[in-house]
Amino acid sequence: MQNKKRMYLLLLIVIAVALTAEILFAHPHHHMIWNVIPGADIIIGFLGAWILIFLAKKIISALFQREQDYYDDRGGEHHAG
Amino acid sequence: MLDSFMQPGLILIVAGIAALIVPDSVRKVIMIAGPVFTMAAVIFSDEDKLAVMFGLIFSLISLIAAIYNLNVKDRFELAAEAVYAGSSISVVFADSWIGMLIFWEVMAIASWLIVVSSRTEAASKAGFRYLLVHLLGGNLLLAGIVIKLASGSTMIECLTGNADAAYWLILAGVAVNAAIPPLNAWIADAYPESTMGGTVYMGSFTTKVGVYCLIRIFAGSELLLYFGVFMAVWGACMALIENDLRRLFAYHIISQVGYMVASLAIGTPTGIDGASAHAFNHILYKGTLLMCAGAVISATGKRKISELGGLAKKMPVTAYCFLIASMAIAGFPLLNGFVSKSLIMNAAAESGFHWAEILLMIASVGTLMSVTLKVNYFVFFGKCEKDIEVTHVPLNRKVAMIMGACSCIITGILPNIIYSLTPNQIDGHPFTVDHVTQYVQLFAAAAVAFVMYLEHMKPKDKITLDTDWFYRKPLKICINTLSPACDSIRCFVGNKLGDFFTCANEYLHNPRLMLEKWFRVKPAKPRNCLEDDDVLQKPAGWLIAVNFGVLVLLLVFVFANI
Repeated sequence: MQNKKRMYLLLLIVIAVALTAEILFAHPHHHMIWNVIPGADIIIGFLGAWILIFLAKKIISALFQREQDYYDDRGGEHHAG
Repeated sequence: MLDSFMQPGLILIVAGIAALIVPDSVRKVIMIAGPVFTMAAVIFSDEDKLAVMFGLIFSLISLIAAIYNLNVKDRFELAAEAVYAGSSISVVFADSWIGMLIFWEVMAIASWLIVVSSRTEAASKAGFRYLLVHLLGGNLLLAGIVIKLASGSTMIECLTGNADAAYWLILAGVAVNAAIPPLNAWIADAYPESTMGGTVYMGSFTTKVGVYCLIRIFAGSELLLYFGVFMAVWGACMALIENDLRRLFAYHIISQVGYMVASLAIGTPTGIDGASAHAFNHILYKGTLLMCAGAVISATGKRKISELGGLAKKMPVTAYCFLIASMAIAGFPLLNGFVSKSLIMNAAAESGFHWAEILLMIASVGTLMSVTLKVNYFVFFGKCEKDIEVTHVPLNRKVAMIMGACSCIITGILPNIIYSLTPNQIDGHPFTVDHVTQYVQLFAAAAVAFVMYLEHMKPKDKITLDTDWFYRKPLKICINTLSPACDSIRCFVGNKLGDFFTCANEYLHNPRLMLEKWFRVKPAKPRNCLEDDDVLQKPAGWLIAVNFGVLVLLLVFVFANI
């Protein structure tokens, strides 16, 4: 738990430094909303990570994960009758 | 035509064949000298920049992988690896369709030999499936090339804009090698079963040769953009739940090849440069990751993440090389993945494909979580209660891993090395404040999400189904059902035909039987033919008698006239 708190603190410092640098020094070459608004990448990163975790851990895992012996010959012959 | 076959790749092919017959000590020299001479031949060749760039990175990774494999004694595996690398370089340098096709098939066979060279039952089965898929790809390519040749086109050309049969057939053939879904399952099926060194070769060549051919033949085909972006996101998702170390990297190959496919599909000079630069960098960091994974599996005898942990203290060189390469694959600034991803993002933004730009950014987040955070935490740097026994990692393997990690750093700090090699030499301007802060924010925010979900991120000991399910389950059941059905039909038809011929034979031997049966002729009195002189002797006797009479008459007539 202590470790987790330290990790959060470290990551928040990194985010704060990056955000400050972006606000002070960045001159975006492209003009989409995520290039212009400072800190938009933080939202993309955080939400994107949760979307991927949800997709992988909840949907793909539930639909497509099987036991290790799923492809073993015994199973195949059983299916073939 | 002969020029198509006289290329740098031949040096490695000859080195591979020589490795089969020479003694061990000479073989080691040949395995190192082969890639070095090939690299020299590539540098001094007068081919276009794209071919030289791919030839250069192929020969460089052959050299690093050969050093990694110096302790391997199996001469067949080493020969197959050298021939595989040589044929890949030969595909890159081929000018004609025929030259490309021939080396393409050599590549398929050599890579199959690498898969089966670990000599396990699983490898043999996975190798068989691998060979079938690649021969299918080769045949599709052959069919497309035959159509091109019939229309009088012998040299490789860009087909973008066409929509004829040749276009689709060649695209399908190349898509097999580039692992474009749904033709992707062979990669996660076969790569983990190969030998440790073999996986390094395989992770570097087949898919990147596919990408090279896509750049040369299909650059600017917008359809591929959708496939590329899907591959990038989906590969990262699959890697996130994967437990087998090398299977995880197989999915990451799909994800990273997705970036390249998307970039080449954009088709602008920046897009082409992005795809080629990313292929170059990918070979370096993926080679290093696979070498580190191989070192871990060899040293511990375990290949599942759930069985590993806390290895950083026991295998520090491997752990830190892995850390560098895993940061490079995600796209950390000052490492090479960042350099080429900047080009790809620029290409997507300049061409107005903003949805692709966002999704590729999310895929980068997936890469960060599934390799940089997940593997480093659960295999190397996280706490582990288990005491895992670790054997010594040979020096040559450490040297190869360090070479790979250093090349990721050098090309990351000096991006102009890469930009000067690309076909259009476009500068990605990676170290602008907005680029660097974008990636730092993206990764730090994703890391927060990862830490929040840390307890559940450890992969389960399960396998994930892929498109190989279609030919490993339904097709297998289908064949297992159809085969006995076909067999019983064959037996039935065979028996009936047998009966017919037996019956017909009887009638043909004695047609009278037919008359007796059909026209109700009175059956002949049964008799023994051998004892009955009427059957043959009487007519023969009469014939002889008539002939004799004619002869006598002739003689009388002749003498009477004289």
